[in-house]
Amino acid sequence: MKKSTILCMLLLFLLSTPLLSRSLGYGLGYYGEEIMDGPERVSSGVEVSLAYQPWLLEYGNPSLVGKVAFGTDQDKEWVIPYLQAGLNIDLVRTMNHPFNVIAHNVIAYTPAIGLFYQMDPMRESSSFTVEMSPLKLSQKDFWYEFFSPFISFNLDEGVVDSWGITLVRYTYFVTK
Amino acid sequence: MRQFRLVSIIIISMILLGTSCSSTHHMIAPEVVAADIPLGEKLSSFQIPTVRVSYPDVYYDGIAWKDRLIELVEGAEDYLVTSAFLASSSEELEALYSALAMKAESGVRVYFVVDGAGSFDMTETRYHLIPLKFLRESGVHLLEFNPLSGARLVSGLNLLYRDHRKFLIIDGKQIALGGMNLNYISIGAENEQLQRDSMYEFNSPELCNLILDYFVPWWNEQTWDEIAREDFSVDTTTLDGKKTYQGWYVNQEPGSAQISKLVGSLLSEADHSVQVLPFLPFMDEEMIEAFRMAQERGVEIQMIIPFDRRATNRKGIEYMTKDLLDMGIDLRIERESAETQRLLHEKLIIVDERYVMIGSTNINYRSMNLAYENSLVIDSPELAQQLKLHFEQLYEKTIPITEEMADRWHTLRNWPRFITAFFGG
Repeated sequence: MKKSTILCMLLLFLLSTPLLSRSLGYGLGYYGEEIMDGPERVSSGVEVSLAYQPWLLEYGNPSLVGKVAFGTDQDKEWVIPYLQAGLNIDLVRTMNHPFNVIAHNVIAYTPAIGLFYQMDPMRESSSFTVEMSPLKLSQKDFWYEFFSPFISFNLDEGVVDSWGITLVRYTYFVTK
Repeated sequence: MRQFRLVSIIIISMILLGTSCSSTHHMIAPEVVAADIPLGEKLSSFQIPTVRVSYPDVYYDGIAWKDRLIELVEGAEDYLVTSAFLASSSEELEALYSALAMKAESGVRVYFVVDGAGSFDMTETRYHLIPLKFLRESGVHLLEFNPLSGARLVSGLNLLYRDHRKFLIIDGKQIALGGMNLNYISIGAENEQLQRDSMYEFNSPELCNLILDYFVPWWNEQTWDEIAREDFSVDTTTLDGKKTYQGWYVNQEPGSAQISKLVGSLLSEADHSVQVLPFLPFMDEEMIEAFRMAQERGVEIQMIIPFDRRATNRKGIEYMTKDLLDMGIDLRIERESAETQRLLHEKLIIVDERYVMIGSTNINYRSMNLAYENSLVIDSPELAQQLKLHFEQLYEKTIPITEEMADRWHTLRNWPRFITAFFGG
């Protein structure tokens, strides 16, 4: 996919967000991924996500999340390494933490775990992905996630399919 | 070339999005301009609630308002709720913010909303700006609305939505609203940097209830620091024995069109005269049309544009005057003088020496579409007369804007300043 097409899609999306409802959020992140089971491919780039958060529970707060990554591989070729859809669960929400300095307003520490069905459109394969977000901080309209590792399993063969890390992900919930 | 294309796409997209979502067409909608519907009935049909208010004390001097504010803060016994677009401390404002901190330490609940733009105040305040985060250490519940930060660039055009409201409620007894921020140039500077503006203090249990009914759930949507409506009582006796006036209050969310309907209804109600202090008069076609329609009905409309010594703003406003002249009204601009070095930040509409509209709303596109605003219309010939005298004093120091002046100012070089201020001003 051309760089300019991706840029235009992103731009249109950002411009349309004031029209979204308040439980819906979208995120932008930066990922890196390596395939373990199959042809060699290491890629990194932008990850775009959508999130639906129906509740604000103190323990086990669930959200539906969909993600798609766009990046370049070791040959500088554009790739879409994964599409993911699944559940993100904030294990706990606490205000007692040392990270308040990063935000202007009161922010909660909400470490999370994500369980996703993952597709690799280039390899036409699917897998099950587990993501940990040990450094997730939340406000009512914003998630900050740093250094979130993920690992995908090929359930048919019982092996690790790929692994990676999302260095940073910011998710904004429309609260107009 | 590629960069130019990208910038062009962004600007065109912003303009398309901004204009397509504009609420200002409501100012000239048939139900708003209908001449046969009384004002009260019209506003009621737009779900704009009525309130009874006392005659307000009017403050035109920021220092006097600051002193009064300190008195009010020191008198608070239970809670204090306040909101300001720009708020920051400085050496000159230490007494005010110390009073707030001490109140919070003594157990009075202090809820303070400042817009995220407050930390990026680009006025003279930037040389006298102490961020308010220190208030939290004293127990002040501080909320920065829609903060501006690198991470939050992800929120895209939502960053355009700002909270422009200015109000204060003390213990459900006293209430104040108007145009003054809580920063150096609004209430701190003791020189030509102090803005000319106005604040109105009065009693109104109904208005306190209206504001709190909206404020509590709104606050809870923004922060984990949640509050309950029943913890904010309102004294229902504050109007006892006082002469009261009917008012209509609008608490506008961006895109809700309530202020457009309010201003459009007021203009269509006008029979013979309207005086306007718009502050930044960046109007779109519908707004200009609303004023033109009133003028064509024979209403004499006077509008004073402030002299703005900040060149970028001034040139943006000057660019706009060519379109503003299409209103056909008595359009004036303040003469440059020692007095007008102090920016006229006031927002005001007076209709037929009877109705006055006060509050945070600038008469421009941004306030109508992209900002949280609060406006109060009061039906009071006495107040209208008092404010008209004030308006006339300002009017004496103005000159008419002519076609020649507008043509001279309408240059391509000023367009970027105009377009920036149109959406951001």
